[in-house]
Amino acid sequence: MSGTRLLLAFDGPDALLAAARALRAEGVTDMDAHTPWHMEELDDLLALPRSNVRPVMLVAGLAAGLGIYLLQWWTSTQGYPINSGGRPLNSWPAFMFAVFETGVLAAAFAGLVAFLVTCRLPTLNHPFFVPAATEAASDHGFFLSLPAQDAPDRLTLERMVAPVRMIEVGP
Amino acid sequence: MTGEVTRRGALRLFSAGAAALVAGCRPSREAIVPYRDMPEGLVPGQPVFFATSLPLGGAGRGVLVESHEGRPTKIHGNPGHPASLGATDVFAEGAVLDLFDPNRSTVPRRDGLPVGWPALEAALAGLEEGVAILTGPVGSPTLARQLRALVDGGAQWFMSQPQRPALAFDGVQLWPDFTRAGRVISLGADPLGPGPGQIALARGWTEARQAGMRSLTFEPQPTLTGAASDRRAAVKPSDLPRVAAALAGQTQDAPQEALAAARALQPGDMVLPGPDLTAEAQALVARLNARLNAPLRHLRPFWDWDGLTPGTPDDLAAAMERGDISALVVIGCNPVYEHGTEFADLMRALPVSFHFGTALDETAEAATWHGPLHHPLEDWSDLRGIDGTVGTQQPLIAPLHQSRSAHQVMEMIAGNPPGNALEVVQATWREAWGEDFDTRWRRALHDGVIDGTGPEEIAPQVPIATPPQSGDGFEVSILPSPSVYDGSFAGNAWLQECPQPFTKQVWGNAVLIAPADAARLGVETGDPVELGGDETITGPAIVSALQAEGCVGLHAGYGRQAAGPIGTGVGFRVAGLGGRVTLRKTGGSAALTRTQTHFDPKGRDIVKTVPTRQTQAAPDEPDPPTLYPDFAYPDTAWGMVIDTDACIGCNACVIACQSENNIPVVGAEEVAKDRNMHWLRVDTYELPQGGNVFQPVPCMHCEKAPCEPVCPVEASVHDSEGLNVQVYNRCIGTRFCQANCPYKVRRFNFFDYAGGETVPDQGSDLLAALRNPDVSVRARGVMEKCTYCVQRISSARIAARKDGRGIGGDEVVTACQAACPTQAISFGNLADRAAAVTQAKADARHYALLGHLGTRPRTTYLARVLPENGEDKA
Amino acid sequence: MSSPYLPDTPPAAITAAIADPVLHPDWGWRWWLGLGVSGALTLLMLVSIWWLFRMGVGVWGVDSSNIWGFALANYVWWIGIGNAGTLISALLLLTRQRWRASISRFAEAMTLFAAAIAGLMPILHLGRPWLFYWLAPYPDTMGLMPQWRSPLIWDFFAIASYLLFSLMFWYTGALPDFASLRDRAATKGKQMVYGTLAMGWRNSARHWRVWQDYYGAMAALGVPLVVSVHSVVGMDFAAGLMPGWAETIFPPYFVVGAMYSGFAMVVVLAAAFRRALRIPHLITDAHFDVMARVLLFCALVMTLSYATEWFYAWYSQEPVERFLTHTQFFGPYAPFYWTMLACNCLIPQLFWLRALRRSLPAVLVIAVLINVGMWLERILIISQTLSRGHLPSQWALFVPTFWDWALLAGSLGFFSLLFFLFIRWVPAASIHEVKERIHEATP
Repeated sequence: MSGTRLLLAFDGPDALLAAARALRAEGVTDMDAHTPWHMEELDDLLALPRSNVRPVMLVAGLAAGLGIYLLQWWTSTQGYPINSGGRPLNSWPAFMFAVFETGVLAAAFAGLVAFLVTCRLPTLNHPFFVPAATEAASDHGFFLSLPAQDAPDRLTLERMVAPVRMIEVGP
Repeated sequence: MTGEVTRRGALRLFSAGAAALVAGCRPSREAIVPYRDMPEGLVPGQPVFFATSLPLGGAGRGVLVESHEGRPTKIHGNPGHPASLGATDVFAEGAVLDLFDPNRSTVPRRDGLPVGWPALEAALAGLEEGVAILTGPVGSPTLARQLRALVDGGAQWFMSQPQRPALAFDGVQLWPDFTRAGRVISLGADPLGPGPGQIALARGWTEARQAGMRSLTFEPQPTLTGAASDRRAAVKPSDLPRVAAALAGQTQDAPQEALAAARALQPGDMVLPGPDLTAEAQALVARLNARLNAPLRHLRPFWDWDGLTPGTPDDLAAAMERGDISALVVIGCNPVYEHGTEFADLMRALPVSFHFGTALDETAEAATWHGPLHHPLEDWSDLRGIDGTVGTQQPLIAPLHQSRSAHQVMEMIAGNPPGNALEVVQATWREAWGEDFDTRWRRALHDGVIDGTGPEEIAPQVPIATPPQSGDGFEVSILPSPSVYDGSFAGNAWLQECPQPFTKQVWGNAVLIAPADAARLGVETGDPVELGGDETITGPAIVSALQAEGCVGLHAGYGRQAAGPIGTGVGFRVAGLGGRVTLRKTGGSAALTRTQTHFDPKGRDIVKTVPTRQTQAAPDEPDPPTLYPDFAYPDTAWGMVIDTDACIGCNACVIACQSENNIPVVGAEEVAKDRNMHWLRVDTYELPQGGNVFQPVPCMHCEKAPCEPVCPVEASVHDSEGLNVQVYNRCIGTRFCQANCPYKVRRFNFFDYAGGETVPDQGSDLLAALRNPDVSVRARGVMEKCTYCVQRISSARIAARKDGRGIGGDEVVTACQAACPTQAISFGNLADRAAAVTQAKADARHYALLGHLGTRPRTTYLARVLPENGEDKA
Repeated sequence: MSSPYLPDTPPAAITAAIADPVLHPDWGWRWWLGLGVSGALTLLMLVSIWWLFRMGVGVWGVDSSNIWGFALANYVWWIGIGNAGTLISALLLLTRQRWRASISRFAEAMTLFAAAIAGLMPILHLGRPWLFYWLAPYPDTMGLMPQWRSPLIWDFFAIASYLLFSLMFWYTGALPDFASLRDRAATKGKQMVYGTLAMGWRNSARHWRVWQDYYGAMAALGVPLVVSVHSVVGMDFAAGLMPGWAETIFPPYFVVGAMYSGFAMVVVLAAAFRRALRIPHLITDAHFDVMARVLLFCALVMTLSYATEWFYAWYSQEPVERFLTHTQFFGPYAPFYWTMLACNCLIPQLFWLRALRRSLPAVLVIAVLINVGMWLERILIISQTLSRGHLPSQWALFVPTFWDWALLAGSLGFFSLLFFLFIRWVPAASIHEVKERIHEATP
């Protein structure tokens, strides 16, 4: 999200969705929204890109699981083999516990990192926070975000979607 | 001994240096031998062994003492001594703890205040007429010689012997040869019970049983002899004469077993009389034995000396009351405890009295003067064994405190300078040997036995009996305690924590009652009961099916009032009760501390019995199936077989293990919380068909050990020779290993036991001296267990490697195996087909404990042989 | 009413209801009293830990046969309680249960607190607790790694993974709420704290999508994780060979038991939060009804599990197993066993009655009894087996000491202390999710 953005504020989720549909029909791209909760409808409506979080989690989980398995296997059979209860050195059924747990943990951690990186968080001083009205985004306000540059003009917007307010937010 | 420094002398000097460190700076009075001129045989880290004798009730058992850098750390048996035969008993094993006991008497005292020896010497020299000397049973020829001199000089000698060894009577020591006996019937004799003859008699008994000897015991309270017999009947003391009469064919009014036995008697059988028989019964038994040509020798008792006839303590008390005694010298016995506080009053009424002993006991408190005596491990002496063989006693360490030898005391009483104990003892033998003295003396010290001495047979005589008391109430049966004997070991923490074989009680004694009596009086195990006799005492009751009705079973040696912080106030004193008591339940609670409280095997296959030695104990099943491939142990595979038929339950192995492996004592409070540290324990189970089996349980060293894969830090691992190894430094104390061990052989340091956190003084520096330097001392929070004496395996391996050979199959002997009087434990390399242990594993009676769990234990058992009811099945 | 679980209120009212108690605290003496009592019990816990470290494990009632005691029972009980939080978050999210929204926040917090306390117990019960880090795989000077075959190492991985996973999961769910608090904060200080925690969240739809990708995946991972964690805890016993422990039913049995005790604790917390925050419209009677039904279901499964144990003990013809079952009913700990059966199996059957399910006092009492019953179950699993093992010579009774009870009571106090602090500084329900569910439910 670079460049100036135009925020259209709405009172309720339905108004936001209607506005999004209308503007999409008009061919406006690169839209975003700010809602107090996750609205699934917006994902398709705004053509939001799918993130890579899940593939990252999968790869991280598998890699960590494999890694910890290899660590266990190597230390038990090559590095420091010890006769423990007459059990085979390569006690792979027993090794699987750590594999699963470490895999899940690695996936969780990698996913969190991927999530924050993808969203470029933390950014504590984004221009979005400058106007006071945007505080409502986390409470009861619904905002539609257009690139200010190629957006339809104010009057058109007023006619099309009737926002409660329009705010410009700098880069 | 001349001015040259002999090896013995050098070691003594070196020990003086070491002892100075241990006892706190005392400069050596003689030149110390520097390491540069190392005495032959003294290699740092390598122990040296010395033969000596240790007294029990006055009679000696030969031992070999392992000495590390001049400190004795472990007692072993002396194979060359007939009362040891290479094994030990609990009292011998505990001797090192007595030696280094922080509560020993250290300085002479007058009226309780420390003085020097010169003052005491002067007091002794000033004695004139009316001197009475009271000792325990005297087994030392030298001491007897000195006594004779004193008696000739006008002193009177009295002997206090509250506990006689088994089969010992006034004037005769009966000495059975079990291996030549077809059948043995014991009438309360208890040859296998605690005493100086236990080891030799148990060995003979077991070998005889293995060759087919049958046994039957009649006794009032459970004893080891009864447990080791084929059949046993509980009979109160007043009924024993009837049993004797029945055996002699003189009556039909006797228990069934007695009548059946009487019918089955054959030449070569033997009847052993106990101390409870009447004069008539003794005579009957003597005639019966003569008729049967019983292999029973009549020996001179070890305390009997030509030309010396001691008075009894009663005689002494009467003499003191009459005022005939002007000075009493008590040496090495504790008459105030043994004979009651009236004796103390009599002593205090004398003009002067002396006590010589190793501890400030009850008698020391009543005496004017007290002088500390050497512990036998610090002393020169000679000592008869129970069969008469004389053994030598040499010091393992220079005296730790300002004590003196009893021989020196005798010289002082005679008005001579104290002299040198070595010279006094040598003088006895110089007389006998003349020119040969030097070689014979050296050999005697080396062997521990003086050759040419041995049993002295006397003409067969009927043992003199003490008439039983008649009256109402319960009859009283008193036996020496298997833990503290006659009370002289009450200050020994190892022995106080050594469980009584049948009740598994520690730190105290109890009143054994038969179930019928208990039901009638409403008494349950653990209830406090009051016994009213000549004195009144209170103690916890234990209901035992092995106890005869109409009789209470008691152990002596408890109720000490001055036995240091360990023994004072433990248990109750029974010596003053008399022959008959009343019994009633009192209120409140009594401390009954036991290491085992459940004795029923619950139908589980734990202790197997077989009717004959050839019967298969366990079916020839293959090991339970496993998903895992086996680890191979081609060269060395340590294993152990314990013969529950040979085990008599004497606990020598338990204390030997404690001594060898620096196992701490935890104290009565901790044992009451079901914690104790014995790596090797002896479990007792009552069989459904009657009788007891003792099962020593060390670590099983399972090939598929359940304790190993559950340890999160690899503190419990398996070595390449089959040992389950506990790595103390790695253990973080999760205790999963013990949770998963089905045998529960592991022991956890809940507190800093080794540091003496729960028992006074156990962490003291003095006691650090007796620790085996080859075994680490474990810290708080660490798990420990039997290691198959891995330190001994290790030193055998080093020795073998130095010689360029393999370790012999029987070369390594574990502490428990060595201590066992009946050689019930076999240990060795299973990869060696000729090793004793490998052959034991092939025995028909062989079985694994809880084998169905698939643990593949390396420690296995041989089943107990209990012949069926029918007679004469060998 | 669009949903029995959710109020028909506008989003602003939701924010106000949940955020204001944190931003404009109006806690009276009750909070201070609760904090004080919890603090005192926490102090008791600290004292008992200090005494334990100073003297040794011997201050507890454990002995040579009963080698494990309260510490392990507490561990299993606490981690069981911690289970339900993740199950509520993950399982209910995946199955789209609307009643999750109001309770998931403090349920997940319960997971964090309970799992942390649970993780403390195995460290405390060590003989040498200062070496607990040897349980972790790291390249050490001895060249040793942990012993991978030990269930305690599986525990280490499971608990560590679970604790960190739950922390990340909880945090991710709470992040948008921290943004709400940041935007609503009245003081600069609170704004900065919540702002930092919110990481600059702008409620962007793009970010919501990524957030959902992550959060949904976590929920999907969370269910098998929870199952695995408590299965591993069950393996602490099932991997052994002691009678009464070597049962293959233990892993699933422990998981259900965990869900059971956890839900019961959630019920208790829900009642407390509803009262304290005055949000009966958010934590409704319908919530207690459905949670009671979950508890009833778990009670039935637990009953079936117990019956399976008894059946297999008999069916196996193993004398040791049969004996142990007999001992459970008639042995020295029988009164506790019967009490446990009453609390876990019998009394929850009252939940068949709708009136009782909807009665807050009844649900609360039964939930507390369930927690008591489940703690009894944990200690009985340990003590009944260890006190009556394979060899009768080693039978001994476990008798807890003052310090055993002190640690248990102290841990409850610590748990409660954490919640008194939580309610003060963290929004106790999920603001954004409640709004989302209301929106979904509105036609």
